[in-house]
Amino acid sequence: MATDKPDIWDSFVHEFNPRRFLIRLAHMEIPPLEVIGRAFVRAAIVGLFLAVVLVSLYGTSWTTVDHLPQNLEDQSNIKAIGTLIFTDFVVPFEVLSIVLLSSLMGAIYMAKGEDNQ
Amino acid sequence: MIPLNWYLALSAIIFAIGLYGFISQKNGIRILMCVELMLNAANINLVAFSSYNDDMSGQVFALFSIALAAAEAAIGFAIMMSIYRMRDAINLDELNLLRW
Repeated sequence: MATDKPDIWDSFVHEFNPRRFLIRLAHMEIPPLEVIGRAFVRAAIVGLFLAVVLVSLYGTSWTTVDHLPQNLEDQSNIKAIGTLIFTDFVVPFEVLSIVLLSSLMGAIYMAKGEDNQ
Repeated sequence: MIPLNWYLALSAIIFAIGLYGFISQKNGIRILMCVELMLNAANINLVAFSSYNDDMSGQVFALFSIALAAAEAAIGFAIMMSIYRMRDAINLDELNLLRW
């Protein structure tokens, strides 16, 4: 058996060796103040957004049904969704097919490049 | 029965994670992944309201939104590929091709 090739146990020990984490921690450099400030501003924006949304969400009394409708013989609602797609939403469905087709054509044209025709 | 608020809170948290990634990342692929995260948060909202109001059309909207997300991801990754061919980088901070 070749000794230069580490087996899976050696690589496991190397991966979770605490000495590696200590070395990485000792060599970690503190980022400059403006980087920390930018990260703080971003986190403040997102935290403010999340706080506003969560508070307004728990302050609203949503009107819901008392019990979820379920049919014990047929648990899925695929049939109802398909019926709805092909009756009420048939025009958006066709428009969506055009959108998907054109976007995929554009994507393939852009990703193809000129050199490998 | 799980309250509706829990679904909405989960959706808001996922949207916030996506928003944070969207404004903090520089890699184009990561930004596209965060956009997908935000779209899927909207899908969770649509499906939750649809089932809790016993109205099926929200789930159809969710299907349409998934299809639109697929189109958006295809276009986005194609743009990323052509940018990478041109510049050998996908760091969006260094990219000012469309800047006025």
